[in-house]
Amino acid sequence: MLWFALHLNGLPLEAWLAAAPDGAGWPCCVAEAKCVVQADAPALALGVTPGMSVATASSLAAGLQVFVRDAAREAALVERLALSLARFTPSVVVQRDGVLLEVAASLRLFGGARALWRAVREAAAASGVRSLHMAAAPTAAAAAVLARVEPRSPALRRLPVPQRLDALPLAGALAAWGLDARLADLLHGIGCRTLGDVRMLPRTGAQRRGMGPLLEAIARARGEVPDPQTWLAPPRRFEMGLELLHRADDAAMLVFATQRLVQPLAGWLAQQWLAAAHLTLVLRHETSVRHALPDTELVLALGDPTRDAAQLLLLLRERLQRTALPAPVYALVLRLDQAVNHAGREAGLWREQGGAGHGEDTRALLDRLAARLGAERVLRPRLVADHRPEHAMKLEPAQEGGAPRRHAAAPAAPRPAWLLPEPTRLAEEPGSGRPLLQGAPLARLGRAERIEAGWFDGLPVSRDYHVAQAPDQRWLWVFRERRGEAVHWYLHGVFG
Amino acid sequence: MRSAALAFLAADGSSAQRLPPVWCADQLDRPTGSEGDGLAQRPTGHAALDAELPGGGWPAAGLIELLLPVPGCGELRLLAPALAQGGALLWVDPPLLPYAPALAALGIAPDRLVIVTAAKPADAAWAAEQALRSGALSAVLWWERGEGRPSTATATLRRLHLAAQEGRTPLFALRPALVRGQSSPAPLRLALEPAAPSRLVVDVFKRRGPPMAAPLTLVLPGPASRRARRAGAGPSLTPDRQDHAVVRPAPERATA
Repeated sequence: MLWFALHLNGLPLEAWLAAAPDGAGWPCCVAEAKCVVQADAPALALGVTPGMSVATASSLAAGLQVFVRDAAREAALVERLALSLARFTPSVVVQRDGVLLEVAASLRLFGGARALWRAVREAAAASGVRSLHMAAAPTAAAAAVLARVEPRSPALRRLPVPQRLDALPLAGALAAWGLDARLADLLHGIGCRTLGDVRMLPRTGAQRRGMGPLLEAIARARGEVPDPQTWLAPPRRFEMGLELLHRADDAAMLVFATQRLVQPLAGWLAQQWLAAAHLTLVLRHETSVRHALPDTELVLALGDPTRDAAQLLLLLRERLQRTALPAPVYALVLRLDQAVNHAGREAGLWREQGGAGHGEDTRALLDRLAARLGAERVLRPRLVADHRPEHAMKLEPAQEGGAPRRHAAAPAAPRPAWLLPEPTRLAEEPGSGRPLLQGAPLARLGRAERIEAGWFDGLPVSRDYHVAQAPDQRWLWVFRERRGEAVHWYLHGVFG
Repeated sequence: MRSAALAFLAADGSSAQRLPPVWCADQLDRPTGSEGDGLAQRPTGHAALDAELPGGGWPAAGLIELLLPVPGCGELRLLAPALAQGGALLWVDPPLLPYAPALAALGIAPDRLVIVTAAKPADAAWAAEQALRSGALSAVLWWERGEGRPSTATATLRRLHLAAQEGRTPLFALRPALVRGQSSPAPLRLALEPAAPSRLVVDVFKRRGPPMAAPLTLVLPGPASRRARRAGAGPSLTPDRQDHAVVRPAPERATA
């Protein structure tokens, strides 16, 4: 077993600042019961220290923003982090101010403990956790206590874990385990400074003097007694919200906040072996009694379902950038509407034809284009078995197509490569009735092709199509409408 | 230190002969992909044109400019042999509706084709750049918008050219003939002019090589060469199959 423990030592503050790109922009601190719990770097530089009363801190730092400590926000941040990390291992334990990962089974997939360590750190940073203490140990309790108590020193890290545990200061370990702090005074009085000193004490005597829980905790950390953990049970449906610190009115801020939600989504999908096919990003607008605005919902349908956080974020960013907001946004909700089973990405054995092989999937590209331009602007033609030229082809969103279709039989007569959206009426030469284009008569070539169809759906056509040569040497496709009294010439296509 | 430097110099001197041959401006460049390394050039399908292009075909990566006096003057028939092979194609902002049955007849299967219409020229350039960078396509065709005055900045063209090289995808930029006088980062520029009958005059006015002595006249397969086709197999102007009740030749009349 190998456990990674992550301790969020800046949790009270980061729970508030997770959705802000670079801090609040001015000194701020978190207070609980009118006492400062934690202050950020600008506030610390002005002399604000934890434990100080809010009134003192406000007098020291002008413009200090005081947040009230919010347990729900902290729990939400830890949950987001835990879900983001679920992509590395299915065994995740959520603690009040940290996350435990059991990674022994994941080492090979992620390229060893060192690479995994770095990947976990990067994933934590992407989910908005800036100050983080990490430790690795063979037991969960040892990793957790090392992450919380051990001083940061590379020299210590090289020692074996039992020695590192023995060297831990007693007061810190007691606080980490939530044990009575008075025990520390008692043990300090008899010369115990570290956990190792406590282990040297006679066991029965120590037990009798109320040190039973401490001895038990030490035994758990050393792996001498079993230490069962409650694994993170991911929610059945993914729907996660994030309240912004400031009202956001530009896409960059929203994109930043969206990233905080995409990371947990990617982890959730990876843990369930799913890929997102249909997503909704709900933007909650600030409303008042007079101005009740409905939420803006951005729907993202993926032609190529994916669970790659970077790809999802890219698509959402394109959507956000082309969305006009009716009002500033104060909260985001990311909801997964539809997911498909997805067993990881298959790597091609050979390089693909066409591109040079390093390229991504065509469908990922189409998703990206459709996300920015709109699905109705990224089209794929499809042949339809119909004799009427304008009905023989249909354009449909390229994301939907995919499976090759049965092709309609190619017409025997030539067809132009370019079709005019609507046939254009041509003028006629008064005497001969020949069609004119820009004042010059068109020379018809060859025999006509008669097309009569459409009686079955109420759009009948009856036309004689000709290939004609324009004065500028282009080949045109013209027809003579045979229905109605007057006979007119129309231009319908250009041979490219 | 000194000996290392000498050894380096010696190695450098000896490797001078092994450098890839430098292109001299008075001869046609014969690259194996001028920027992409070892990329095969794509034959154009027209032997006379192949002989005039550096490397004997369309470059496998980079920007290729085709200047058209008017859309629909034979550019698709010129490109069709090169586009008929390979994977997916992206057409950005075509001026008219590409007609799939005709393209299928030219060898471009409709499910290989993706058509993007953009609201703004900037969006079109963005789509082309994304497609090129992805490297997932076998070619990108991009029509420059703006009938009156083409306004694509040189920086945009350069960006597209770099993207095409990075993604190792050819970008055929179909631009109006007006821009011939403007400078362009494209290493290969062609001006097309339709000529009677079913002939296309191609002037390769910028290439890695000496200027062309005279523009080239290509004979394109088209509806006009039906006499030649009638001798062989292939579609002709008059429908060959008359097995359908609704598609039948019009009765002969004196004049319409």
